[in-house]
Amino acid sequence: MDKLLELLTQLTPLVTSFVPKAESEAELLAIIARMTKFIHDQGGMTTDEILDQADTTLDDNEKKLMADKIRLAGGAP
Amino acid sequence: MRLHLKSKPIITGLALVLLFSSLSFKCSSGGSNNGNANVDLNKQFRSAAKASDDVAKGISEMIDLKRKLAQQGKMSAAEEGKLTDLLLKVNTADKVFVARIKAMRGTAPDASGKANLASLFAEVTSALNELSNAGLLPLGNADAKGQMQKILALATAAAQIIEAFLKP
Repeated sequence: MDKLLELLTQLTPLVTSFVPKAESEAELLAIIARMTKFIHDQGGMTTDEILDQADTTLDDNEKKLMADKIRLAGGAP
Repeated sequence: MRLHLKSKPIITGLALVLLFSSLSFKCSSGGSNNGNANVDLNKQFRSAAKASDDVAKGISEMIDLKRKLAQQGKMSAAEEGKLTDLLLKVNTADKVFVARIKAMRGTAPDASGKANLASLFAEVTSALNELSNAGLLPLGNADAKGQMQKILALATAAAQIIEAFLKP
């Protein structure tokens, strides 16, 4: 399963180089592959580790979104 | 029945959402469930924790995709600004929900505890709906709209797992 997901993630940029119009679909497949692997990896984690991971991701998301707000308001690049 | 060519990516997306959901349930057997009496409770908390983590990851992927689409000129600054605000709303709601799960961990939630969780979770689903209706539906570029909607569908599939946990 891990190897299949890894292969799928590696293949998607290659597909777009041969089929330019496939770029958006390949991007989407890469995201879905990453998310599927993410869920698969949760199986080996304790509930506490999953909650800590959620906390970290949510903090990172907040930082990225605040940076986007500043950028869109014409602040820092 | 013949399928129109344009239906293919949508059907592929839906099939992957199903795969995503089934994997999410399948993986819930891991982790540490020690006592017999607490097995169901641990499973419920684990499912809720996993789903809230999946929503967080879905938001993260949507932020990256939003940035990419904006750079490609497939989204206006106004559209990106609206999406940024709505994503922040979902993120904040999920953050509050995760904090509450952490606080309740290890103890069986009583009726009021479950009601409290349900109320907090309603904030998450409401924010996800608002993101879909006010952020994604109005997007002018069909390609950008389609891609963002599929990632949102993944996050929503995860949210449905939390909903099952909160049912009385």
